[in-house]
Order: sequence, then structure tokens, then C-alpha cells
Amino acid sequence: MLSLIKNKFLRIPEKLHILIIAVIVMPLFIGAAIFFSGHFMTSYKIAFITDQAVSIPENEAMRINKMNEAPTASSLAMGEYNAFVETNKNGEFTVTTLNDESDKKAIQTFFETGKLPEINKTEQRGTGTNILGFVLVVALMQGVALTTFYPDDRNNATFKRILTSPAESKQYLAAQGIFTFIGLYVPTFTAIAITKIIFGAEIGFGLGTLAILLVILTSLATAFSLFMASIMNRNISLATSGISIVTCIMAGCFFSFTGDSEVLDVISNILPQKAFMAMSQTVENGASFQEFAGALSYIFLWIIVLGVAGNVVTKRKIKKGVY
Amino acid sequence: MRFLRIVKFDFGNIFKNSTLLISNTVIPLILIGLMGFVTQSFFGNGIMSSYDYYGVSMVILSALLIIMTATNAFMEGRVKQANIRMIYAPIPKFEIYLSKIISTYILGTLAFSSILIIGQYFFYINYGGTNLPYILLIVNMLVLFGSCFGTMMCCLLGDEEKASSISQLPVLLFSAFGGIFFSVYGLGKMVAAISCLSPVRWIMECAFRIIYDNDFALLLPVTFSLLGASIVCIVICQLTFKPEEFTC
Repeated sequence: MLSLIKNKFLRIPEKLHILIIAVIVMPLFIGAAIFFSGHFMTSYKIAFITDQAVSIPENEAMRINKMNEAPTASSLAMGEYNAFVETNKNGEFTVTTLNDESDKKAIQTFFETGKLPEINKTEQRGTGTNILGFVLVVALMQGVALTTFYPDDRNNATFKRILTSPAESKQYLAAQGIFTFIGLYVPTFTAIAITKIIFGAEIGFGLGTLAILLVILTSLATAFSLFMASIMNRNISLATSGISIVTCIMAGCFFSFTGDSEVLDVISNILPQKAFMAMSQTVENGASFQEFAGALSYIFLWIIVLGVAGNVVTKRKIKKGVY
Repeated sequence: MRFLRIVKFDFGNIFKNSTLLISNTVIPLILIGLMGFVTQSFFGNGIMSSYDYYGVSMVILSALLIIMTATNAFMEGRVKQANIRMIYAPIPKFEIYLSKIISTYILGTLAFSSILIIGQYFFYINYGGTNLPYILLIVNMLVLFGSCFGTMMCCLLGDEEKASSISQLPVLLFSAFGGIFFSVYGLGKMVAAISCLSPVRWIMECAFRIIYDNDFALLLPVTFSLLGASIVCIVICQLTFKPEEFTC
């Protein structure tokens, strides 16, 4: 078992590109994502179209450009402006925007009264949870790249030779899992820790809490990639990326959303990512262990099921003589 | 005739690979639907809904990711063995890689044209109405570029896995800074300025200008840049593809 693990590490040079991506590029992406997520603008960018000398009320939540002619509609689509405001001779304001009704009303009220109404946006998600949502997507996609030795060994018939030795497939998979886990965990944790300690970025968790949450996250990604590598023979990485992205959007890893589609709700509630996001949010809110114990055990259930399923599928294939 | 035969075989190989087929047909539609649904609440009843925005951006992203199909069509384990047979045959080397580019391009064009047409007429996504042909043209060029780029990466790196994992990085980077996932202006002036370096941003802007402003100023520059970049990729393929180094 130990030599199996050692073997993985010794073979790193032949797959150097994968390791460079996992250890250097992905952490950079994560760091950049944390950095930029702290810089999201909450102000409205408004094109105020008027040819009269109207004094505009000032507010830091409104960045208003005064101009004579309306900009193109595509500048709204690209997000260069959030809204166009036009005046007519009677001094009434018309707001054109792609944002939702409450934003439109807020802008209208601001121009009419000079005051911004209290915006009751739905409860915002914490920074830490947003970051972990992004990291979860990256880890799920990256995990399969780090598990590449397993399908490689099968294709080169190395796997068959290992099985003729006293090593069992269970041990082989465990060794691969440990390798994947370390390859995912160490760079991710280091990247987040560095952005917190050196760049002082706000990450919403203490380092200890983060370390534990990342263990759960990485275990899930590892179990998933072992499972995928076991059930599929070709295009593993492409299929895994596709499944990861689609399920992560449904689970709200990118945006938290409240839809009114029951079907989607049912599906997304099954997903372990959803449970993870919920748990991360509860932890960030400072709740006690009891409050997220349910979500936690649900994620563990997924990890175990995925791990066992990977094992069983591999055993079955060996019995059938596929490898 | 011989070349057509190779193309036909390569096309068949992609077509029979269900993962590749699904990722170029069903997945883009699912992505549009999901992203549109998830971000619905951020958009109002204006001229553009969330489905209109992600309809454009997700098609651009998926069309770029045809790179993965190209690397697969060129160097996937099973195809590689067939390639070795061709390398032994007395045919010019360009027929080998060019047939992968063409077969990927044909599949991509068919797939993404259908997605755009289905999107516009069945799901009422705004792809420009009567201007749809121009959007088709841009996506078409994007698919061509993706096919050439993926094949070029294979020629340069000689390994499918390396080629696809490395070429994913610029795609992700340019997409993130090109406004595929969120508006680049939301991150402030600096990021908006950086985004001008991302080709993806210009493709997005070109598409939006055509759809919402009837403005074709960017159409020719974008089309010809993509075409030029594709030709550069093919030239690099010819220079770097070494059949004698091709191994299983």
C-alpha cells in the first residue's frame, strides 16, 4: 500500500504538466477569484441623458454620467451601464434598465427625490461560502486530472500486473485516492491561506475552520473522481467537467438563487454540493455543530457511497476480465 | 477522394463518441437553461432577459471548448492507432491533421448552428432575429478557430491529455475576463480595461452590437481575426507535426 502511494509520487515527473496546473495555476486562479470577489461593485452605473442643465443629486451608490445622446443598447447588455435615465420637458424621468423591478424603482426614486430608498435585497451569502463554492467547482474538475494515473495504468495493462501482486484493487484505489487528496488539498489550502495572511483578503473563516471545511470538500472531490475514473473508460475528464459544472450551477455554487421550479429544487436538494454550501453558510454564520450535523452526515454519506461504488465497479470489471 | 475518405472516418469517430456528441449538443442547451434560470432574478423585463445574455455567452464558451473535441479527434487512444497506420501510408502529412480539423469543424458547425436556430425559434432566445445569419457566422468562425487551435496544441505537445488540459486554461482565463460568466464592468474600471485584451470580450461585444444595435462595425474585424488566427494555427500544425514522433 505504502509503495503504491510512493509509486504515484515517483511518477509525477511524467505528468508534470498536470501537477503544474494543480499546484501553481489553479491556486493562482483561486487567489485571483478571492481577490476579485472582494471588488465587486455594488453601485449603479447610470447614463443620464439630458440636454438641460439639471443638477443631479449625489450618492456614492450611483455613478452618473451625464450625456446628450443615449448610448447604444449593447452597452446595457455588456453591463457598461446599468441603466439609462432620460428626462422630458415636464421634468419626469424614464428609466431603462435590464435589472429587475426593484432596482428600476430605486433608481427612479433616487432621481425624483434625490434619496436612495432602502433596498431590501434577499439575504446575501457570506464571502467565505462564495469562495468555497468556487473552490468546490475547481476541485471537482481538477480531481479527475490528478486521478489520471489510474486510467493510464489500466490502458497500459500496468493495473493488471499490480493485481497479480499481493496488492488488491481496494488498496490501489485507496492509494490513488490519497494521492488525489493531497494533490488537491495542499495547493488549495496554501492558496487561500496565502491570500488571507499575506494579502489580507477577507475569507470569512478562521484558518482552522477553513482547514476542516476543505478536508470535507476535497474528500468529496476525491471520491467523485475515483468514481468517475472507475465507471468510465474514455473522455473521463470531459464528462467529469460537464457533470461538475452543471451540478454545481444547480447546487448554487456560483450564484445563490431562489427559483420556483419544483423539479430543479428536488434535483438540487439531492446534490451533495448543495448540502456543502448550506453547511458552509451555517458555519460562516457562526452556528453550533448541531445545526449543520445533518448536512455534514449527508455529505459523508455521499463520499462513502461514491467511494464504495467506485470500488465495486472496479471489482466487477476485474471479475469480468475487462482489464 | 482519399482525403474525403479520411475525413469521413474521422467524422464518424467523433460522431460515435457519445461524450463528445453530448458535450457539443445537449450540454450547451442545459448550460443556457441553467444559467438563465439561476440568474433570472437579476434581470427585469427589459430588452434582454437572463436567457438572452447566457444564450449568447454560453454558446460562445461551448463553441470555444470545441478545442476538447479537436484534441480528442486527433489523439484519443483509439484514433491514435489508426493514425499510425496512416503515417506508414504514402500520403502527405497535412492530410492527417487537416482531416481532424475539418471533421471537428463540420460537427461543430452543425451542432452550434442547430443550437442557435433551435434557441431562437423554439426557446425564443434573442439571437438577433433577422440578423441571426451574422451570429451564425461568428459562431462558425469560432468553431473553426477552436478546431484549428486544438489540433495545433496536439501537434505542439504530442499528447491529448496535455493538449486539452493546457488549452483549457487560456479559454477559462479569457472567458472570465471576457464577460462570459458576469459582466466585466461589475469589477471596476481596471478589470474593464484588462478585459479589452480578451478576444472573448470582443466576440461578445460584436454579438451584442449586432443583436441589440444592428451595428456591424465589429463583424468584419472579428471574423477576419478568427480566420487569420485559424490559418496561423494550421501553418504551425504543418511546421510542428512530426509523424515520425507519433507514438501510441
